[in-house]
Amino acid sequence: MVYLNLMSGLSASEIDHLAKLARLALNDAEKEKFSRELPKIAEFVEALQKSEITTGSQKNAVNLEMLRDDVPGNNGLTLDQLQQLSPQWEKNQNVVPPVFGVSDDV
Amino acid sequence: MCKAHDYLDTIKSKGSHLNAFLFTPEGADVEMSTTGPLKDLVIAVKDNISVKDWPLTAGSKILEGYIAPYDATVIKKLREANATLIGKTNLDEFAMGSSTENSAYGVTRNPWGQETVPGGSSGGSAAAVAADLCDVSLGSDTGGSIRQPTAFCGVTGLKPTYGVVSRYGLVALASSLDVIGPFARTAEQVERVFSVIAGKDEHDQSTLDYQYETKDVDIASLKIGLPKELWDLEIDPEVKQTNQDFVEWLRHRGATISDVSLPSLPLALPAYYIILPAEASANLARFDGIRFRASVRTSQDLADTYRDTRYLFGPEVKRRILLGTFALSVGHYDAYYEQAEKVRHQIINEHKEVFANVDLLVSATTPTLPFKIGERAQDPIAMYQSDLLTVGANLAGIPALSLPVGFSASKLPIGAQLMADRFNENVILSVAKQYQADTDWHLRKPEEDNG
Repeated sequence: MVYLNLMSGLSASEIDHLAKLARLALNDAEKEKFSRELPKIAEFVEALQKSEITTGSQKNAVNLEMLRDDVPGNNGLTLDQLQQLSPQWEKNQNVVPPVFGVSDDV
Repeated sequence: MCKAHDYLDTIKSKGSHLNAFLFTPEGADVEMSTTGPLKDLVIAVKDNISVKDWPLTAGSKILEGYIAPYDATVIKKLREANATLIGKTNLDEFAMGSSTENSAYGVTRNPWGQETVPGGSSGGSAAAVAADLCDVSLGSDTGGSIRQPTAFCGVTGLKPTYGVVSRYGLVALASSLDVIGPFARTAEQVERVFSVIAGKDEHDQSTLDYQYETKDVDIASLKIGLPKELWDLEIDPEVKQTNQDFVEWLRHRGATISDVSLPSLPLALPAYYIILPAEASANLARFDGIRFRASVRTSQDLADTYRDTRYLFGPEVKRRILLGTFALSVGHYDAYYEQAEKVRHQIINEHKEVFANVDLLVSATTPTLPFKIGERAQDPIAMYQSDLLTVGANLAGIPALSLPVGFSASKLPIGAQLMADRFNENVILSVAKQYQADTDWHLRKPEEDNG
């Protein structure tokens, strides 16, 4: 486990770790820029940690009022529509790279 | 030739330099109805809202080529009321920004000043109304994305109560804050469209049983609070003076004006910049190169497909995904996300207490006049400060409207913000309508005033 400390700045390996967690490919210029900017944003939100607020409900701020009846109710996308949305379409199926067997990084 | 075709012509001719629209339909596909409550309104839609068979980009390269397969609930409701849809408007990528400079499809220009931003993230929607390219437009507001461009473009725009308008078909940014609302020249038109799009929807389980009814209020009976945490901020002198003039108008109409305090409001923006990236980093996980058309497949490895496709995100989106990932990571969740949630609850409670004593809160909408294109593009914190006065209403879930109350010496519009307790849109809209019956700021047009 890598414990990141934004306040003390981000090393190259730390930004790589964060990008990996976020599933983002970054180029070198982006890595350099974000390792400079993210600590500044952490400094900006530091007031939160310094605030006196320690109590308060932890429950979700959103009041989820209802669930609809448990019946199939999707909008019935057609195969043509699905094909239109698919990056790679073969034999009426959406082709994806293999989930297992290439790397253990998924 | 109907009004909608005139608008289409203007969008493509003298309106094209604004880059307010990312898509317009063929003229032959646009026809105005002769019946229905919104038959006379031509409406533009922010390009993060699904309109069936129209492209939806959310201002991002990652959605290039994506055609929305269904109508958002708000679009369905507009169609049922026989409104005419005229196109999709430009925005900051995934609604992340305050200037539309983050759009992958170029900045929108403010009709009041060519080198000036229209605000954001719904900059195209605000500019389209200001430049007379439509009657009404829809935007979304997560931290100020309707009200700030409303103020910058000199139009009227409403962020409704959280949970009153369905987000089904809206590209999610921060689901606990996102709300869809209308822009128009007048509060009366804003109200007409709001009353159509509001209401419960089984496709968005955050929506509440609610039906909007126009109910006018007597300004003389209103108690109005000026939140000192907002008025004491560093605000542009012209913006402040113009807003003080607006408060004087309210006082002249007999309203009781008092200073009020919401002590935790200074923590709203820091809390927002934890809650928003945290939720956005989760919501944007769906853009993975498996769905939504765009995909970069350089290897036969799923993890590479995710990472390489998501390389298509622009810098602000990447910045916020990284920040949100950090805030939710092991060892930081408590210190950042949970603390931000506590602050949010404190802000909700303070608003409840204040609205026990006053009917309306008034402040400026933005701390500054509309800024120049490029002025803040390299400084994320300076850009985030654009939401300083608007973000509290999102955290509190309350309705808030911005309307034009004057102009700077440099002929740029200045907005005032009205906020009421949850579900009290009618109070805000009634005051705005009465102000607009008495003044003509909302009728000024850029061409006449800006040469």
